[in-house]
Amino acid sequence: MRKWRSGFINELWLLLYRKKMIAFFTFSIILPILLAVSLHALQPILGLVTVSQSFPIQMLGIYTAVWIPLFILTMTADLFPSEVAARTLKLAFLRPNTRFHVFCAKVAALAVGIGTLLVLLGVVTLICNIFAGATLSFTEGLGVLKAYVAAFVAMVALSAVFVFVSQFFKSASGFMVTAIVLYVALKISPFLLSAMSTFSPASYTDWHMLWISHNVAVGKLWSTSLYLLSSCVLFFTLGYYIFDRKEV
Amino acid sequence: MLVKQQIGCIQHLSAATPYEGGIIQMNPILETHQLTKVYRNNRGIRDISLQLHAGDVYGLLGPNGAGKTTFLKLITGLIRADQGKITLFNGDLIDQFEEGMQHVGCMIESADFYDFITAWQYLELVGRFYPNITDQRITEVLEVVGMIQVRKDKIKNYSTGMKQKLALAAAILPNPKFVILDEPTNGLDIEGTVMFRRLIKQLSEEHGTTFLISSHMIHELEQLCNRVGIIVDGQLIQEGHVSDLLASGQSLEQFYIHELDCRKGGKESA
Repeated sequence: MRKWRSGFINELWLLLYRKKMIAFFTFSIILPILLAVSLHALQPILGLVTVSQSFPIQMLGIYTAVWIPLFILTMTADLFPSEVAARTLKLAFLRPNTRFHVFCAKVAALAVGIGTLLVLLGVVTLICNIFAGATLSFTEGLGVLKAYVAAFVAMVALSAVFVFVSQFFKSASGFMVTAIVLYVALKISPFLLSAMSTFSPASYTDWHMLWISHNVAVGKLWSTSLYLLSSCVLFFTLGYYIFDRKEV
Repeated sequence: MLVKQQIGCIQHLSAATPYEGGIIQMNPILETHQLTKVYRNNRGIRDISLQLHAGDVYGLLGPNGAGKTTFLKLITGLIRADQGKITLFNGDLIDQFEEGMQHVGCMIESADFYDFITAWQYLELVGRFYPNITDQRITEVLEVVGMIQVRKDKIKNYSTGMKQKLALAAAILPNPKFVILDEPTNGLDIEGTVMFRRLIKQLSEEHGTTFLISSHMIHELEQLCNRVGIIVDGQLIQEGHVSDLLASGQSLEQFYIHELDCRKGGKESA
């Protein structure tokens, strides 16, 4: 466990040393502020469109559809194909650490990155709400918290898919292009084949909406939760299977 | 005692026996048994059996593409063998990888790094895997390899030689019992090469560190190693003690060229 922790801490430090990750986090903070300021300034013109109690959820919808998947793609590319291309993967393999630990450390760092992004977004949007005078009640706050936790699970499930896909690539650019095409295809596919909306992890980017809705049965939440968790386990296992056989 | 066998034109110098010079040698630090790895292009290594004991400084010689790096990658778990067994510090490499690698410092193939961090940051990352690696120890190894002045520069600004020195620093950082070096003097200037030679001599003589060095710098190996092995076409064709070789009046270079010629001659006549 000590070795896994060392690898995990190293991955987190490497994440912080990468300038693009800092840029991602900075932009993630600035974007809601800019949007809140713009909406506040334009309220006399736009009328009803303003920073309301639902602002954290509205921003979450935008982030889970585009921004966080893009973050996942970039980070996954850095953690896996980029390291193969730069031949830095061997730096981790040559330490007294098993490949399972190396893989787990990378995936855990990715999950921490997603979590950090969501926490930053949540905190910033709540602060924006306070400044806009649209404070949340305790129940509303609890709903927001529930939605963010649900979004985290959905994003981790999506990242497991991308981690699996990344194992087939030896360059970051090749992976990025393929993954973007794949993500768009997965997003479009439910319109062509309705079953895809149930079985594609990419269809769950707005899963958090189910958790704040009052009309969704508990059974539906339970079954979708199980599906996302099993999807995580499946793609994590498949990804590790290929990672373990990598020759560097 | 070294046993010499005359087989054709090849003079076989057998590997060290467990009982040598009146000292009973302990279990080998590294032992490979019929190690085989063949790539799709039919290159690789075949049936390499080798033993390294504590304090050995073993030089691995061979032409380009002979399989030296493949062998080093196999014994460090970077690639998997098709067949054969690797025992590192009395444990199977696959089953007890963490325990075995705890005492190993490596520098395999080219010196590749995360180029967006500094030498100090990199050594901090490495140090986390080992106990008792303090800032003082990091300073110490950076001073040894002559990198203390540039410790806060980004690695992307380093020359090949500087990267090589950093790789060497990372390899010796945890005070390993066994150090594996693949072409360690590549890109090093004269000063760096002398530093490297002194370092290996010091670690070997004062701390009993075992070394496995793959290099084309045959004169360096002659000065540093007590044992050498020659790999040609993926096979370990010769192995023996440098002192015995020198006592026979041959230099390591002459011996090496002779072995290659014999190998070529044998192939042609076949």
